[in-house]
Amino acid sequence: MDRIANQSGTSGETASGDVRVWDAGVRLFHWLLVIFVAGAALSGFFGPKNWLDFHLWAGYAAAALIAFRLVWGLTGATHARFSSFPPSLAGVRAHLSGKHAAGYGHNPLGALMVYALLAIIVALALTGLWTLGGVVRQGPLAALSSYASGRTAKEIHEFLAWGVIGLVALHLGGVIFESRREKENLARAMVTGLKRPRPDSTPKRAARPVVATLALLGLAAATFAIVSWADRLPAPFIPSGPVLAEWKAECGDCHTPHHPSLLPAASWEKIMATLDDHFGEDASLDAGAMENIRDWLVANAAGHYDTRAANSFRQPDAAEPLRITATARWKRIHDDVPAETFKRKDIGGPVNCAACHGDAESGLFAPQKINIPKPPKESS
Amino acid sequence: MKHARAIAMAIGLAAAAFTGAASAGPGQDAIIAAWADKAKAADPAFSGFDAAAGKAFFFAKHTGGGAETPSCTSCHTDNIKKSGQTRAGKAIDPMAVSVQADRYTDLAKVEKWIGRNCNSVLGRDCTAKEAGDVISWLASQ
Ligand code: HEC
Ligand code: HEC
Ligand code: HEC
Repeated sequence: MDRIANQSGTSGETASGDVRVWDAGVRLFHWLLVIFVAGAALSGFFGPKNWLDFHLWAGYAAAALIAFRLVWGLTGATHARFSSFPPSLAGVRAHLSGKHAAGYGHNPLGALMVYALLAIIVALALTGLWTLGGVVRQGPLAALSSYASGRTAKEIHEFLAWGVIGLVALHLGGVIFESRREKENLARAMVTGLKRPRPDSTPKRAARPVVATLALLGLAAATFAIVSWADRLPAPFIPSGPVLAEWKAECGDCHTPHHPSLLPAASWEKIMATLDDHFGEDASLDAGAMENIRDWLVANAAGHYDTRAANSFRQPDAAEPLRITATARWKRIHDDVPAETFKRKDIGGPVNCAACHGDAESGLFAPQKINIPKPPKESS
Repeated sequence: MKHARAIAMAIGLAAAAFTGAASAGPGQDAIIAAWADKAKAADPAFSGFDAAAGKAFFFAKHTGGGAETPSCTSCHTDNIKKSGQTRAGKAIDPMAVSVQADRYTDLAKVEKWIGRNCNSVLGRDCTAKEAGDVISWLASQ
């Protein structure tokens, strides 16, 4: 107990003789990273789509922590510095053959693990941003990516996510193994920062918190500048701007108005030419309104956009080319939604996209806007 | 003259209120008058709309239209003071003017929907008389 009470000194040694190895920066970094990576992994693997924001914030926070660690690796105290645990294959060989003398810091294998984890989380953050830009069409890369490249990034992102799980498992195995071998609880050392005294030749380095703070502020400013520049890039392949009021009124009378990007131009032409027999119903319009709406639909049809929805529904079903809901992709995406849910009176069938997609009218279909409403209480 | 008409109207309104029969407001009256013009044009012998016939028409099962829409009540339900639902699942406001005051006040809207709905239910246009009968009845509810 008094070990912890006495750890205030910076000299490295405490009253009980234990030595301060991990500074506060390293420890805080380590445990916050555990929390954020766990949060990102759990929400990514198990969360429903509308938890995306949680996943994103966990990911941003993990990336920010990595940025801090990279700076701290150059400015932190002795054992925080990368120079105290350089990646070295010779060191790993010596360690494996038992010839490496254990110092205070990371052993050569542990050091490799640190670099591997830092690298994989950086790669996860980058592929995640790319997926967000290309597939979800949000974030700083929205204007700089394509849907196709986003799909590839998504696959890499998922592969790397499994990689992190594997690395963490190895890391835990290593910590347990080394703790046994060194007869010292290494996980606790990462909490208290303290280890038993032992011979160690690492050159002492003082932490440079002011330099670190300035470097981080510089990084933050650069990130802000890049993101605000990227946000202003034009992205004509993502629906934006006002929709045609006439479309919203006339095509919204009987069901959610379906955004033009959800069907190809040929389907819209056909729908607008056959309004007098519209899915078994007369939905005819006077010629002027019909032409206005048709021209707007055709000018904004799926072929003009590169969103997930446009890419998914661009290829209509051969038998029912006028239905978005008949496409194989639409059915696959909605596989998990029970048929009874669509049948609910307050939802009104699959054609009423807006019942569950808060942004259906915009054509964006953002994961964050998906919400299957709670069934209303029966009142008769 | 002017005064006499106003007094007569006031008496008429009071009588309508007294008997409890809701009467159509001025917006609805203009719409019904427009349909009366059409009915006269189609049939010089036209002598006025018949709300009771309109009610019967609204509830009747028709043939010739879509299989899922044999009646006006298919979407508007048989309680016109309650909300209905389109075949595509969207709620339709009640049809009775007493609960939905802005009903039958926009001629283009009424013409559009009478055109569509008659075709869906009967497979043909409604005659001006049929339409006027129904609107007269709906507007009085
Ligand atoms: C009078 C009512 C009515 C109006 C007005 C109307 N629709 Fe429809 N629409 C329907 C019905 C009914 C269906 C079939 C619903 C079902 O099968 O569940 C439908 C289905 C659709 C579908 C297929 C949805 C799918 O993927 O299954 C599209 C696309 C569509 N409508 C487009 C339009 C457009 C464009 C307009 C405006 C010009 C319009 N609708 C106006 C009644 C209407
Ligand atoms: C009953 C609710 C409901 C209705 C109605 C509905 N959806 Fe969905 N939709 C969902 C759910 C839930 C998901 C998420 C599925 C998942 O978890 O993979 C989803 C996912 C999607 C996605 C993928 C979003 C993404 O980025 O992951 C698209 C695109 C989409 N829906 C389009 C439509 C269209 C177009 C319509 C109307 C023709 C529609 N949906 C109607 C519930 C609904
Ligand atoms: C397929 C569903 C459907 C059927 C069947 C149907 N209606 Fe409608 N009706 C609608 C919809 C939808 C509207 C417009 C929505 C609104 O105004 O709230 C509407 C609007 C109307 C309006 C215009 C109301 C206004 O505010 O101006 C009239 C009049 C009308 N219907 C009469 C009828 C009559 C008469 C029949 C039977 C011949 C009928 N409807 C059958 C769906 C239907």
